[in-house]
Amino acid sequence: MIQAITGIALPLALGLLCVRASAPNLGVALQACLGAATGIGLVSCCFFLSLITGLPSLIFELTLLATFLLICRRKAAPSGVRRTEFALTAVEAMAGAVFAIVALYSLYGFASVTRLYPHGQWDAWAIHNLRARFLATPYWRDAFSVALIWSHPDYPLLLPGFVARVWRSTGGRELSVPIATAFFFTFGSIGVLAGAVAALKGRTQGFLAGTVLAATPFFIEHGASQYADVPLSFFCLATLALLALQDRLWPDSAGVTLLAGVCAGMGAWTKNEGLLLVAVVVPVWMLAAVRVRGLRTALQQVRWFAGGLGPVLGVVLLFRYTLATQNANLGGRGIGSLMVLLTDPYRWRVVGSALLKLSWSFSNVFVNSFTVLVIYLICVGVHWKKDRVAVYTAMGSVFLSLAGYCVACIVSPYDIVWQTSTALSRLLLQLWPAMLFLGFLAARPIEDAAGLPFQITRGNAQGR
Amino acid sequence: MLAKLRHYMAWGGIGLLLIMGARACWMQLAHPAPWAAVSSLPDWVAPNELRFGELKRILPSRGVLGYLSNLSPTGDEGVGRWYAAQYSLAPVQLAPGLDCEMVVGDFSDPSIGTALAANHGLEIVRDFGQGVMLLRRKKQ
Repeated sequence: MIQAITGIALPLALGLLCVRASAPNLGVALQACLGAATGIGLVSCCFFLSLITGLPSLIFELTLLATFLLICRRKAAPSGVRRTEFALTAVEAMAGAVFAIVALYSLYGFASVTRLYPHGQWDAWAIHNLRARFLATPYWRDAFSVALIWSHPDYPLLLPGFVARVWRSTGGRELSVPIATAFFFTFGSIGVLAGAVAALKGRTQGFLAGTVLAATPFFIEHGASQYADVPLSFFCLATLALLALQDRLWPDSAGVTLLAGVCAGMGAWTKNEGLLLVAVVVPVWMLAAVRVRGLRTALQQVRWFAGGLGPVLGVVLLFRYTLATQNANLGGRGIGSLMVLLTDPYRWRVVGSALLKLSWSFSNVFVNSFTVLVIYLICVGVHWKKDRVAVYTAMGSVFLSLAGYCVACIVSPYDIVWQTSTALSRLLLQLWPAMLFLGFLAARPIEDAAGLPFQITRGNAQGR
Repeated sequence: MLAKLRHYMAWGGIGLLLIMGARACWMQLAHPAPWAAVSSLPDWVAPNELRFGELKRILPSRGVLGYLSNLSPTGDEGVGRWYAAQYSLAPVQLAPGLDCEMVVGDFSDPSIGTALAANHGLEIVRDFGQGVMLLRRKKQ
């Protein structure tokens, strides 16, 4: 256990330094949540490079660590750093208390599921943890052998790579490592959502957003089940949140945009669906930025984003060309056979009706979570004048990702009914934190709507 | 009038989120893993770690073994047991079928293991109990 903790400490330090070096203005909670996830991703990339090159992973990790330390040292303390105001208004304190209670209960839910399924549920043990068990040994190439073709050897290695890296350093196969990883991503998502919305719309709104995600048992359960959908949802949310923060609070900050690019890349390093995220976020964000900020500014920001995305995407492509097998859903089929499936009205009908049913039953607490979000927006009203780029980007990305998921289901070689019944709810889950971010970003600040005392902070002052 | 209505609606929105939070708390307490309970197959993995523990200790650290079970490798339970056995025995690989010299027997009913192995021309190297056996092709 102690070895596992020390094995996890280096990645966390690496991630925190990465976030500190690129976005020193972010609040402490946001830095911690983003740092943990980024560290896990970076260490996983280093571990993969060590497998390919035969060099120890520690060399890559220490090189990155030294680089980030150097950047942190060289960067002069940013002028006008926003100091976190800890004095809460009564309303903020109440919203904070509700958030804390719901988060505690979700922690209990996470622990209960972990106790029932310590190895995770099906996809976790049969794909990611199984692969980690191979990668942690000198015979790691066997993980990609024909005998294991059923375990999707084309899936990227963020989760198994990180777990195997820690197992190699501890010399064991501690269950605490994948459990801790799942914990970081599940509660990190809640932290990033609450932190980003708080910075942009005020603390009360941030606490409410965090409360809704913590009050989504479907999300908590899948996080505790160690499914990769939750880490992917984290990176999807982090990408959109960082772009929104940069656009509103630090329009000249290359670092925040670069970190957003890193997060988008990490999404592609987590699951194949992450590549879709990269493919939709970049053009949608660029279009929104061109429309609102002008071509020159947009191009400059895309360059910064590419600076973060490029290296991680390079690792993903290296994996694709060196180890990954063909994707079972899309690979090895001609355009003709894909078109036959794509033009089959029955498949469209099945996916359409499944999506409709799902949007009615998704994480049904007392009514489904989508309905709660929509009713909340109707009740408080919307106000996104200062966040147009962020709202357009999030809206376009969520919509196009959803459309992409539907098309992937339609062209799936498996039985369409089975495919939609097993995959669609989890695909929707990948977008749920981003949808909540979009909803609360678009919503009118609650103090404003309900006529409550309003504390002016830099974020919400600029948003009004 | 309109401002007052907006004000009440906003409070309604807050109330809705509070009810959602309260209901979710109740669900986490009363039914942890509600979706797993209705949608997933049983958890074979944790019990399998114990069942296969002793076999794993005597296996080489690398290699490919055959896999024989009384359950169909195309049915949900058969597939689940095969994958779970692979998870427990990794990094040794399990190839379903009897092409390998050594075969892992994984039987849901331990009493049928011996007969099934014999039917496939296999002899028992060691019976680890609970339906787990290490089998070998019979010498001609």
